[in-house]
Amino acid sequence: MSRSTERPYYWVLPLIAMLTLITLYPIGVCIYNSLFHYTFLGGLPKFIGLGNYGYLIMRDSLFHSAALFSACYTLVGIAVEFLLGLVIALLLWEEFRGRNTIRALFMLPFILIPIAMAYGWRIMLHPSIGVINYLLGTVGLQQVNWLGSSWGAKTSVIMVEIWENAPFLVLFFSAGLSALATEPFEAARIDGASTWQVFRYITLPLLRPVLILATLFRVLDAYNKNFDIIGTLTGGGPGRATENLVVYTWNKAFLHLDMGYSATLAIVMLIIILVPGIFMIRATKLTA
Amino acid sequence: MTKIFKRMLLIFLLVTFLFPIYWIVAISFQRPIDILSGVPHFTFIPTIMNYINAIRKGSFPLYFGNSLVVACFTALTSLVISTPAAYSLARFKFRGKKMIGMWALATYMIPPLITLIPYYLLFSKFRLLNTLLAVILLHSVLVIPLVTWMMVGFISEIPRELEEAAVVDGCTRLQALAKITLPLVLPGLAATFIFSFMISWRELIYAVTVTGETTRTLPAAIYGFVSFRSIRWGELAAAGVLGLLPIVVLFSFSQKALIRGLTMGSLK
Repeated sequence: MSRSTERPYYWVLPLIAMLTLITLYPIGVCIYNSLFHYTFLGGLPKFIGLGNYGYLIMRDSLFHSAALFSACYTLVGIAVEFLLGLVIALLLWEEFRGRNTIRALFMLPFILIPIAMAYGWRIMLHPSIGVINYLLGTVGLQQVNWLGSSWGAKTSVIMVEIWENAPFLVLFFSAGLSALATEPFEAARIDGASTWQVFRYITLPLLRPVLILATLFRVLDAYNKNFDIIGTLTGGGPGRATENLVVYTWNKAFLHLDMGYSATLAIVMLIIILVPGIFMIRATKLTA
Repeated sequence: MTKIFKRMLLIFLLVTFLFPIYWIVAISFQRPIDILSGVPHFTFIPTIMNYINAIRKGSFPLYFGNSLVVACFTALTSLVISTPAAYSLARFKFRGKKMIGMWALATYMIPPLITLIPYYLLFSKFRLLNTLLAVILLHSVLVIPLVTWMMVGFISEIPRELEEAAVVDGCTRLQALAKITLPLVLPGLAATFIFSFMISWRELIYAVTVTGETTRTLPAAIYGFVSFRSIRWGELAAAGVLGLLPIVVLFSFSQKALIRGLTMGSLK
Protein backbone atom coordinates (compact mmCIF):
# COMPACT_ATOMS: atom_id res chain seq x y z
CA MET A 1 0.00 0.00 0.00
CA SER A 2 1.81 3.10 -1.20
CA ARG A 3 0.02 5.31 1.32
CA SER A 4 2.10 3.85 4.10
CA THR A 5 5.24 5.41 2.68
CA GLU A 6 3.59 8.72 1.94
CA ARG A 7 5.85 11.47 3.24
CA PRO A 8 7.29 9.63 6.21
CA TYR A 9 10.30 11.91 6.42
CA TYR A 10 8.53 14.93 7.90
CA TRP A 11 7.16 12.75 10.63
CA VAL A 12 10.47 11.17 11.46
CA LEU A 13 12.09 14.50 12.25
CA PRO A 14 10.52 14.98 15.68
CA LEU A 15 11.65 11.47 16.50
CA ILE A 16 15.22 12.11 15.58
CA ALA A 17 15.17 15.39 17.48
CA MET A 18 13.83 13.59 20.53
CA LEU A 19 16.37 10.83 20.26
CA THR A 20 19.20 13.28 20.03
CA LEU A 21 18.12 15.67 22.75
CA ILE A 22 17.08 13.04 25.24
CA THR A 23 19.62 10.31 24.73
CA LEU A 24 22.55 11.16 22.48
CA TYR A 25 23.31 14.72 23.55
CA PRO A 26 23.45 14.07 27.32
CA ILE A 27 25.49 10.88 27.02
CA GLY A 28 27.78 12.47 24.50
CA VAL A 29 28.45 15.56 26.59
CA CYS A 30 29.07 13.45 29.68
CA ILE A 31 31.56 11.26 27.89
CA TYR A 32 33.28 14.34 26.52
CA ASN A 33 33.42 16.09 29.87
CA SER A 34 34.66 12.99 31.63
CA LEU A 35 37.87 13.22 29.66
CA PHE A 36 38.76 16.54 31.21
CA HIS A 37 39.74 17.86 34.54
CA TYR A 38 37.04 20.49 34.72
CA THR A 39 35.72 22.29 37.73
CA PHE A 40 33.87 25.56 37.96
CA LEU A 41 36.49 26.81 40.34
CA GLY A 42 39.62 25.64 38.64
CA GLY A 43 39.97 27.67 35.47
CA LEU A 44 40.12 26.14 32.02
CA PRO A 45 39.36 22.49 31.46
CA LYS A 46 42.40 20.31 31.01
CA PHE A 47 42.33 17.22 28.85
CA ILE A 48 43.41 14.16 30.81
CA GLY A 49 42.04 11.32 28.73
CA LEU A 50 41.06 8.43 30.90
CA GLY A 51 42.65 9.87 34.00
CA ASN A 52 39.35 10.36 35.75
CA TYR A 53 38.41 6.76 35.14
CA GLY A 54 41.74 5.54 36.40
CA TYR A 55 41.36 7.44 39.61
CA LEU A 56 37.78 6.27 40.03
CA ILE A 57 38.56 2.61 39.69
CA MET A 58 41.86 2.49 41.52
CA ARG A 59 41.95 5.12 44.20
CA ASP A 60 38.49 6.50 44.92
CA SER A 61 37.39 4.67 48.03
CA LEU A 62 34.36 6.94 48.34
CA PHE A 63 33.19 5.66 44.99
CA HIS A 64 33.62 2.11 46.16
CA SER A 65 31.62 2.62 49.34
CA ALA A 66 28.93 4.53 47.44
CA ALA A 67 28.68 1.73 44.88
CA LEU A 68 28.46 -0.80 47.66
CA PHE A 69 25.61 1.02 49.32
CA SER A 70 23.82 1.46 46.01
CA ALA A 71 23.99 -2.28 45.51
CA CYS A 72 22.90 -3.01 49.07
CA TYR A 73 20.03 -0.52 48.90
CA THR A 74 18.79 -1.89 45.59
CA LEU A 75 19.06 -5.57 46.41
CA VAL A 76 17.70 -5.54 49.95
CA GLY A 77 14.97 -3.09 49.04
CA ILE A 78 13.77 -5.10 46.09
CA ALA A 79 13.91 -8.42 47.88
CA VAL A 80 11.62 -7.20 50.64
CA GLU A 81 9.35 -5.19 48.31
CA PHE A 82 8.93 -8.24 46.18
CA LEU A 83 7.82 -10.43 49.03
CA LEU A 84 5.48 -7.81 50.44
CA GLY A 85 4.06 -6.95 47.03
CA LEU A 86 3.42 -10.58 46.19
CA VAL A 87 1.85 -11.39 49.55
CA ILE A 88 -0.47 -8.40 49.41
CA ALA A 89 -1.39 -9.03 45.78
CA LEU A 90 -2.23 -12.63 46.62
CA LEU A 91 -4.30 -11.53 49.57
CA LEU A 92 -6.16 -9.17 47.27
CA TRP A 93 -6.69 -11.74 44.56
CA GLU A 94 -10.07 -13.08 45.47
CA GLU A 95 -13.07 -10.84 45.28
CA PHE A 96 -14.61 -9.65 48.49
CA ARG A 97 -16.59 -6.66 49.51
CA GLY A 98 -14.45 -3.54 49.53
CA ARG A 99 -11.53 -5.23 47.84
CA ASN A 100 -11.12 -2.58 45.17
CA THR A 101 -11.20 0.18 47.75
CA ILE A 102 -8.54 -1.54 49.82
CA ARG A 103 -6.43 -2.07 46.75
CA ALA A 104 -6.71 1.62 45.88
CA LEU A 105 -5.78 2.53 49.45
CA PHE A 106 -2.63 0.45 49.19
CA MET A 107 -1.62 2.58 46.24
CA LEU A 108 -1.38 5.73 48.32
CA PRO A 109 2.28 5.55 49.42
CA PHE A 110 3.23 5.16 45.82
CA ILE A 111 1.28 7.98 44.22
CA LEU A 112 1.89 10.62 46.84
CA ILE A 113 4.86 12.94 46.51
CA PRO A 114 8.03 11.17 47.65
CA ILE A 115 9.48 14.16 49.39
CA ALA A 116 6.37 14.91 51.39
CA MET A 117 6.25 11.30 52.52
CA ALA A 118 9.96 11.23 53.23
CA TYR A 119 9.50 14.28 55.39
CA GLY A 120 6.71 12.51 57.24
CA TRP A 121 9.05 9.62 57.88
CA ARG A 122 11.69 11.99 59.13
CA ILE A 123 9.30 13.22 61.78
CA MET A 124 8.32 9.69 62.67
CA LEU A 125 11.91 8.54 62.98
CA HIS A 126 13.01 11.41 65.19
CA PRO A 127 14.78 9.90 68.20
CA SER A 128 12.91 11.85 70.85
CA ILE A 129 9.66 13.19 69.47
CA GLY A 130 9.13 10.56 66.82
CA VAL A 131 6.31 8.09 67.05
CA ILE A 132 8.28 5.02 66.01
CA ASN A 133 10.59 5.14 68.96
CA TYR A 134 7.64 5.87 71.18
CA LEU A 135 5.84 2.75 70.00
CA LEU A 136 8.98 0.70 70.40
CA GLY A 137 9.24 1.95 73.93
CA THR A 138 5.69 1.04 74.83
CA VAL A 139 6.15 -2.58 73.78
CA GLY A 140 9.38 -2.79 75.71
CA LEU A 141 11.82 -2.77 72.82
CA GLN A 142 14.87 -0.61 72.75
CA GLN A 143 14.68 2.70 71.02
CA VAL A 144 16.83 3.23 67.97
CA ASN A 145 18.73 6.27 66.84
CA TRP A 146 17.25 5.94 63.39
CA LEU A 147 18.74 8.78 61.46
CA GLY A 148 21.73 9.51 63.62
CA SER A 149 23.52 6.19 63.58
CA SER A 150 25.14 4.51 60.63
CA TRP A 151 23.11 1.30 60.65
CA GLY A 152 19.96 3.06 61.75
CA ALA A 153 20.21 5.43 58.83
CA LYS A 154 20.85 2.66 56.33
CA THR A 155 17.89 0.72 57.63
CA SER A 156 15.63 3.77 57.67
CA VAL A 157 16.39 4.68 54.10
CA ILE A 158 15.79 1.17 52.82
CA MET A 159 12.67 0.92 54.92
CA VAL A 160 11.14 4.03 53.39
CA GLU A 161 12.10 2.85 49.93
CA ILE A 162 10.25 -0.40 50.55
CA TRP A 163 7.27 1.39 52.03
CA GLU A 164 6.97 3.70 49.07
CA ASN A 165 7.41 1.19 46.30
CA ALA A 166 5.88 -2.08 47.43
CA PRO A 167 2.48 -0.67 46.34
CA PHE A 168 3.76 -0.40 42.80
CA LEU A 169 4.48 -4.10 42.88
CA VAL A 170 1.08 -4.77 44.42
CA LEU A 171 -0.47 -3.02 41.45
CA PHE A 172 1.66 -4.83 38.93
CA PHE A 173 1.21 -8.24 40.47
CA SER A 174 -2.52 -7.72 40.90
CA ALA A 175 -2.86 -6.91 37.23
CA GLY A 176 -0.81 -9.97 36.40
CA LEU A 177 -2.79 -12.24 38.67
CA SER A 178 -6.14 -11.08 37.34
CA ALA A 179 -4.96 -11.80 33.80
CA LEU A 180 -4.28 -15.43 34.57
CA ALA A 181 -6.59 -18.07 33.14
CA THR A 182 -8.61 -20.04 35.64
CA GLU A 183 -8.44 -23.47 34.03
CA PRO A 184 -5.08 -24.56 35.44
CA PHE A 185 -6.25 -23.64 38.93
CA GLU A 186 -9.51 -25.49 38.64
CA ALA A 187 -7.75 -28.53 37.26
CA ALA A 188 -5.28 -28.43 40.12
CA ARG A 189 -8.03 -28.15 42.68
CA ILE A 190 -9.81 -31.12 41.15
CA ASP A 191 -6.59 -33.07 41.32
CA GLY A 192 -6.36 -32.26 45.00
CA ALA A 193 -3.30 -30.03 45.04
CA SER A 194 -2.52 -28.16 48.24
CA THR A 195 -2.39 -24.37 48.36
CA TRP A 196 1.38 -24.38 48.49
CA GLN A 197 1.62 -26.75 45.54
CA VAL A 198 -0.73 -24.65 43.48
CA PHE A 199 1.31 -21.59 44.31
CA ARG A 200 4.65 -23.14 43.52
CA TYR A 201 3.85 -25.09 40.41
CA ILE A 202 1.10 -23.03 38.80
CA THR A 203 0.90 -19.47 40.05
CA LEU A 204 4.59 -18.70 40.06
CA PRO A 205 5.47 -20.08 36.63
CA LEU A 206 2.45 -18.40 35.05
CA LEU A 207 3.40 -15.15 36.70
CA ARG A 208 7.00 -15.25 35.57
CA PRO A 209 6.81 -12.63 32.78
CA VAL A 210 5.12 -10.17 35.11
CA LEU A 211 7.61 -10.86 37.88
CA ILE A 212 10.58 -10.29 35.61
CA LEU A 213 9.16 -7.09 34.13
CA ALA A 214 8.33 -5.74 37.58
CA THR A 215 11.82 -6.55 38.84
CA LEU A 216 13.29 -4.70 35.89
CA PHE A 217 11.36 -1.53 36.64
CA ARG A 218 12.09 -1.69 40.34
CA VAL A 219 15.79 -2.32 39.93
CA LEU A 220 16.16 0.65 37.61
CA ASP A 221 14.14 2.88 39.91
CA ALA A 222 15.87 1.86 43.13
CA TYR A 223 19.23 2.37 41.49
CA ASN A 224 18.47 5.71 39.83
CA LYS A 225 15.68 7.45 41.63
CA ASN A 226 16.45 7.46 45.30
CA PHE A 227 17.55 11.06 45.68
CA ASP A 228 14.17 12.05 47.13
CA ILE A 229 14.31 9.56 49.95
CA ILE A 230 17.98 9.63 50.84
CA GLY A 231 18.36 13.36 50.33
CA THR A 232 15.45 14.16 52.63
CA LEU A 233 16.10 11.63 55.36
CA THR A 234 19.84 11.72 55.74
CA GLY A 235 21.45 13.72 52.94
CA GLY A 236 23.93 10.90 52.63
CA GLY A 237 24.84 10.90 56.30
CA PRO A 238 25.57 10.42 59.04
CA GLY A 239 29.05 10.85 57.70
CA ARG A 240 28.77 8.96 54.45
CA ALA A 241 26.76 6.02 55.70
CA THR A 242 23.87 6.42 53.29
CA GLU A 243 25.80 8.01 50.47
CA ASN A 244 25.05 5.97 47.39
CA LEU A 245 26.12 6.61 43.82
CA VAL A 246 23.37 9.09 43.04
CA VAL A 247 24.03 11.21 46.12
CA TYR A 248 27.80 10.99 45.67
CA THR A 249 27.63 12.06 42.04
CA TRP A 250 25.19 14.86 42.72
CA ASN A 251 27.34 16.23 45.53
CA LYS A 252 30.41 16.09 43.34
CA ALA A 253 28.63 18.00 40.58
CA PHE A 254 26.68 20.60 42.51
CA LEU A 255 28.41 20.97 45.84
CA HIS A 256 32.00 20.61 44.72
CA LEU A 257 31.26 21.85 41.21
CA ASP A 258 33.60 19.24 39.75
CA MET A 259 32.02 18.82 36.34
CA GLY A 260 34.63 16.56 34.85
CA TYR A 261 34.72 13.96 37.57
CA SER A 262 30.98 13.97 38.16
CA ALA A 263 30.48 13.30 34.45
CA THR A 264 32.83 10.37 34.86
CA LEU A 265 30.79 9.10 37.78
CA ALA A 266 27.59 9.47 35.78
CA ILE A 267 29.00 7.49 32.86
CA VAL A 268 30.23 4.79 35.19
CA MET A 269 26.77 4.66 36.81
CA LEU A 270 25.35 4.11 33.35
CA ILE A 271 27.84 1.38 32.55
CA ILE A 272 27.14 -0.39 35.82
CA ILE A 273 23.41 -0.60 35.17
CA LEU A 274 23.81 -1.46 31.50
CA VAL A 275 24.73 -5.08 32.07
CA PRO A 276 21.88 -6.11 34.38
CA GLY A 277 19.56 -3.77 32.47
CA ILE A 278 20.16 -5.33 29.07
CA PHE A 279 20.10 -8.78 30.58
CA MET A 280 16.70 -8.16 32.12
CA ILE A 281 15.28 -6.54 29.00
CA ARG A 282 16.27 -9.64 27.05
CA ALA A 283 14.56 -11.77 29.65
CA THR A 284 11.29 -9.86 29.31
CA LYS A 285 11.38 -9.95 25.53
CA LEU A 286 11.78 -13.68 25.51
CA THR A 287 8.91 -14.39 27.82
CA ALA A 288 6.50 -11.56 27.05
CA MET B 1 -10.37 -20.31 59.39
CA THR B 2 -7.57 -19.25 57.11
CA LYS B 3 -9.94 -16.77 55.57
CA ILE B 4 -10.10 -14.84 58.81
CA PHE B 5 -6.35 -15.02 59.16
CA LYS B 6 -5.92 -13.70 55.64
CA ARG B 7 -8.29 -10.83 56.27
CA MET B 8 -6.56 -9.90 59.48
CA LEU B 9 -3.16 -10.01 57.83
CA LEU B 10 -4.47 -7.77 55.08
CA ILE B 11 -5.90 -5.27 57.54
CA PHE B 12 -2.67 -5.29 59.53
CA LEU B 13 -0.62 -4.60 56.42
CA LEU B 14 -3.02 -1.90 55.30
CA VAL B 15 -2.80 -0.13 58.64
CA THR B 16 0.99 -0.35 58.62
CA PHE B 17 1.19 1.10 55.14
CA LEU B 18 -1.28 3.88 55.73
CA PHE B 19 0.02 4.86 59.14
CA PRO B 20 2.72 7.30 57.97
CA ILE B 21 0.18 9.07 55.78
CA TYR B 22 -2.21 9.37 58.66
CA TRP B 23 0.64 10.59 60.84
CA ILE B 24 1.71 13.42 58.61
CA VAL B 25 -1.87 14.58 58.21
CA ALA B 26 -2.29 14.40 61.99
CA ILE B 27 0.88 16.43 62.55
CA SER B 28 -0.38 19.07 60.16
CA PHE B 29 -3.34 19.60 62.48
CA GLN B 30 -1.39 19.67 65.73
CA ARG B 31 -0.26 22.65 67.73
CA PRO B 32 3.50 23.03 68.20
CA ILE B 33 3.34 22.20 71.88
CA ASP B 34 1.69 18.90 71.04
CA ILE B 35 4.23 18.07 68.37
CA LEU B 36 7.29 18.98 70.35
CA SER B 37 6.31 17.49 73.66
CA GLY B 38 8.28 14.41 74.54
CA VAL B 39 5.43 12.10 73.71
CA PRO B 40 3.62 11.82 70.38
CA HIS B 41 -0.02 12.60 70.81
CA PHE B 42 -2.63 10.30 69.44
CA THR B 43 -5.40 12.45 70.76
CA PHE B 44 -5.08 16.18 70.53
CA ILE B 45 -7.02 19.31 69.94
CA PRO B 46 -6.88 20.01 66.23
CA THR B 47 -5.91 23.37 64.85
CA ILE B 48 -5.74 24.81 61.39
CA MET B 49 -3.09 27.35 62.31
CA ASN B 50 -0.46 25.36 60.49
CA TYR B 51 -2.33 25.61 57.23
CA ILE B 52 -3.01 29.30 57.68
CA ASN B 53 0.62 30.00 58.50
CA ALA B 54 1.90 27.87 55.68
CA ILE B 55 -0.24 29.72 53.17
CA ARG B 56 0.27 33.21 54.54
CA LYS B 57 3.85 33.23 55.67
CA GLY B 58 6.68 32.19 53.44
CA SER B 59 6.08 31.85 49.75
CA PHE B 60 3.83 28.85 49.60
CA PRO B 61 1.52 30.29 46.93
CA LEU B 62 4.59 31.10 44.85
CA TYR B 63 5.93 27.58 45.05
CA PHE B 64 2.54 26.04 44.43
CA GLY B 65 2.08 28.30 41.43
CA ASN B 66 5.51 27.44 40.10
CA SER B 67 4.78 23.75 40.34
CA LEU B 68 1.46 24.29 38.59
CA VAL B 69 3.01 26.20 35.71
CA VAL B 70 5.86 23.75 35.31
CA ALA B 71 3.64 20.68 35.42
CA CYS B 72 1.10 22.11 32.97
CA PHE B 73 3.70 23.22 30.47
CA THR B 74 5.64 20.01 30.79
CA ALA B 75 2.56 17.97 30.02
CA LEU B 76 1.58 20.28 27.17
CA THR B 77 5.02 20.45 25.60
CA SER B 78 5.64 16.75 25.78
CA LEU B 79 2.27 16.00 24.21
CA VAL B 80 2.82 18.50 21.41
CA ILE B 81 6.23 17.05 20.63
CA SER B 82 5.40 13.41 21.16
CA THR B 83 2.03 13.01 19.48
CA PRO B 84 3.17 13.57 15.87
CA ALA B 85 6.08 11.26 16.47
CA ALA B 86 3.80 8.72 18.12
CA TYR B 87 1.44 8.96 15.19
CA SER B 88 4.14 8.19 12.67
CA LEU B 89 5.39 5.31 14.78
CA ALA B 90 1.93 3.85 15.19
CA ARG B 91 0.92 4.19 11.55
CA PHE B 92 3.86 3.66 9.29
CA LYS B 93 5.38 0.42 8.22
CA PHE B 94 8.62 0.34 10.20
CA ARG B 95 8.15 -1.54 13.45
CA GLY B 96 7.31 1.56 15.44
CA LYS B 97 5.77 0.01 18.49
CA LYS B 98 8.67 -2.21 19.33
CA MET B 99 11.26 0.46 18.69
CA ILE B 100 9.59 3.08 20.84
CA GLY B 101 9.14 0.56 23.62
CA MET B 102 12.81 -0.29 23.56
CA TRP B 103 13.83 3.35 23.45
CA ALA B 104 11.52 4.30 26.32
CA LEU B 105 12.95 1.45 28.36
CA ALA B 106 16.49 2.44 27.48
CA THR B 107 15.97 6.03 28.62
CA TYR B 108 14.56 4.64 31.84
CA MET B 109 17.94 3.02 32.45
CA ILE B 110 19.89 6.24 32.08
CA PRO B 111 20.81 7.75 35.44
CA PRO B 112 19.16 11.18 35.82
CA LEU B 113 22.55 12.78 36.39
CA ILE B 114 23.59 11.96 32.85
CA THR B 115 20.83 14.28 31.70
CA LEU B 116 21.20 16.77 34.52
CA ILE B 117 24.89 17.63 34.22
CA PRO B 118 24.99 18.49 30.49
CA TYR B 119 21.76 20.47 30.61
CA TYR B 120 22.88 22.26 33.74
CA LEU B 121 26.02 23.35 31.92
CA LEU B 122 23.95 24.37 28.91
CA PHE B 123 21.54 26.40 31.03
CA SER B 124 24.43 27.96 32.84
CA LYS B 125 25.91 29.16 29.57
CA PHE B 126 22.64 30.62 28.36
CA ARG B 127 21.74 32.20 31.71
CA LEU B 128 18.77 29.90 31.99
CA LEU B 129 19.48 28.78 35.50
CA ASN B 130 16.84 29.78 38.05
CA THR B 131 14.18 29.98 35.37
CA LEU B 132 11.00 27.96 35.08
CA LEU B 133 11.88 27.29 31.46
CA ALA B 134 14.85 25.22 32.58
CA VAL B 135 12.70 22.98 34.75
CA ILE B 136 10.07 22.65 32.06
CA LEU B 137 12.71 21.57 29.56
CA LEU B 138 14.23 19.04 31.90
CA HIS B 139 10.88 17.62 32.93
CA SER B 140 9.87 17.34 29.29
CA VAL B 141 13.03 15.41 28.56
CA LEU B 142 12.16 13.16 31.45
CA VAL B 143 8.61 12.56 30.39
CA ILE B 144 8.71 12.43 26.58
CA PRO B 145 9.75 8.77 26.18
CA LEU B 146 6.88 7.60 28.35
CA VAL B 147 4.40 10.00 26.74
CA THR B 148 5.38 8.84 23.27
CA TRP B 149 5.05 5.22 24.29
CA MET B 150 1.60 5.78 25.77
CA MET B 151 0.40 7.74 22.74
CA VAL B 152 1.66 5.07 20.38
CA GLY B 153 -0.44 2.61 22.32
CA PHE B 154 -3.54 4.80 22.25
CA ILE B 155 -3.23 5.70 18.58
CA SER B 156 -2.66 2.08 17.62
CA GLU B 157 -6.03 1.23 19.04
CA ILE B 158 -7.76 3.34 16.44
CA PRO B 159 -8.05 1.40 13.19
CA ARG B 160 -6.30 3.09 10.35
CA GLU B 161 -9.22 2.18 8.09
CA LEU B 162 -11.10 5.14 9.51
CA GLU B 163 -8.43 7.50 8.28
CA GLU B 164 -8.12 5.70 4.98
CA ALA B 165 -11.85 6.09 4.45
CA ALA B 166 -11.59 9.82 5.14
CA VAL B 167 -8.73 10.18 2.68
CA VAL B 168 -10.73 8.31 0.05
CA ASP B 169 -13.57 10.74 0.68
CA GLY B 170 -11.27 13.63 -0.16
CA CYS B 171 -9.47 14.72 3.04
CA THR B 172 -5.75 15.18 3.20
CA ARG B 173 -3.96 13.04 5.67
CA LEU B 174 -3.67 15.95 8.03
CA GLN B 175 -7.39 16.60 7.93
CA ALA B 176 -8.08 12.96 8.54
CA LEU B 177 -5.81 13.10 11.53
CA ALA B 178 -7.46 16.18 12.97
CA LYS B 179 -11.07 15.33 12.29
CA ILE B 180 -11.16 11.60 12.90
CA THR B 181 -8.24 10.32 14.92
CA LEU B 182 -7.78 13.20 17.32
CA PRO B 183 -11.31 13.20 18.73
CA LEU B 184 -11.17 9.44 19.14
CA VAL B 185 -7.85 9.51 20.94
CA LEU B 186 -8.88 12.33 23.27
CA PRO B 187 -9.34 10.12 26.37
CA GLY B 188 -5.86 8.77 25.79
CA LEU B 189 -4.53 12.31 25.45
CA ALA B 190 -6.19 13.28 28.69
CA ALA B 191 -4.79 10.29 30.55
CA THR B 192 -1.32 11.00 29.21
CA PHE B 193 -1.60 14.66 30.13
CA ILE B 194 -2.56 13.79 33.69
CA PHE B 195 0.20 11.22 33.91
CA SER B 196 2.96 13.59 32.81
CA PHE B 197 1.49 16.31 35.02
CA MET B 198 1.79 14.02 38.02
CA ILE B 199 5.34 13.04 37.22
CA SER B 200 6.38 16.67 36.88
CA TRP B 201 4.51 17.72 40.00
CA ARG B 202 6.37 15.33 42.27
CA GLU B 203 9.81 15.51 40.63
CA LEU B 204 12.62 16.59 42.91
CA ILE B 205 16.21 16.20 41.72
CA TYR B 206 15.99 18.29 38.54
CA ALA B 207 13.85 20.93 40.23
CA VAL B 208 16.21 21.35 43.15
CA THR B 209 19.25 21.72 40.93
CA VAL B 210 18.10 24.31 38.40
CA THR B 211 15.72 26.48 40.38
CA GLY B 212 16.48 29.45 42.54
CA GLU B 213 14.67 31.38 45.24
CA THR B 214 11.87 32.67 43.05
CA THR B 215 11.42 29.65 40.83
CA ARG B 216 11.34 26.85 43.36
CA THR B 217 8.75 24.23 42.77
CA LEU B 218 6.88 22.83 45.73
CA PRO B 219 8.99 19.68 46.21
CA ALA B 220 12.17 21.70 45.89
CA ALA B 221 10.90 24.20 48.46
CA ILE B 222 10.04 21.46 50.94
CA TYR B 223 13.46 19.95 50.38
CA GLY B 224 15.08 23.26 51.16
CA PHE B 225 13.16 23.59 54.40
CA VAL B 226 14.03 20.11 55.46
CA SER B 227 17.74 20.73 55.06
CA PHE B 228 17.98 23.94 56.97
CA ARG B 229 14.96 24.73 59.02
CA SER B 230 13.30 21.62 60.31
CA ILE B 231 11.80 23.46 63.21
CA ARG B 232 8.35 24.34 62.00
CA TRP B 233 7.22 20.74 61.75
CA GLY B 234 3.53 21.50 61.73
CA GLU B 235 3.66 24.06 58.96
CA LEU B 236 5.87 21.89 56.85
CA ALA B 237 3.49 19.01 57.29
CA ALA B 238 0.63 21.28 56.25
CA ALA B 239 2.56 22.42 53.18
CA GLY B 240 3.26 18.82 52.33
CA VAL B 241 -0.37 17.82 52.64
CA LEU B 242 -1.48 20.76 50.52
CA GLY B 243 1.00 19.74 47.87
CA LEU B 244 -0.40 16.25 47.86
CA LEU B 245 -3.96 17.34 47.18
CA PRO B 246 -3.67 17.87 43.41
CA ILE B 247 -2.15 14.46 43.01
CA VAL B 248 -4.83 12.75 45.04
CA VAL B 249 -7.56 14.53 43.13
CA LEU B 250 -6.05 13.77 39.75
CA PHE B 251 -5.38 10.19 40.66
CA SER B 252 -8.88 9.44 41.85
CA PHE B 253 -10.30 10.87 38.64
CA SER B 254 -8.07 9.02 36.30
CA GLN B 255 -7.24 5.81 38.12
CA LYS B 256 -8.72 3.43 35.63
CA ALA B 257 -7.37 5.13 32.55
CA LEU B 258 -3.91 5.47 34.04
CA ILE B 259 -3.58 1.85 35.01
CA ARG B 260 -4.81 0.84 31.61
CA GLY B 261 -2.30 3.06 29.88
CA LEU B 262 0.56 1.89 32.03
CA THR B 263 0.02 -1.83 31.83
CA MET B 264 -1.22 -1.80 28.26
CA GLY B 265 1.97 -2.54 26.45
CA SER B 266 3.52 -4.79 28.99
CA LEU B 267 0.80 -7.25 29.78
CA LYS B 268 -0.66 -7.99 26.36
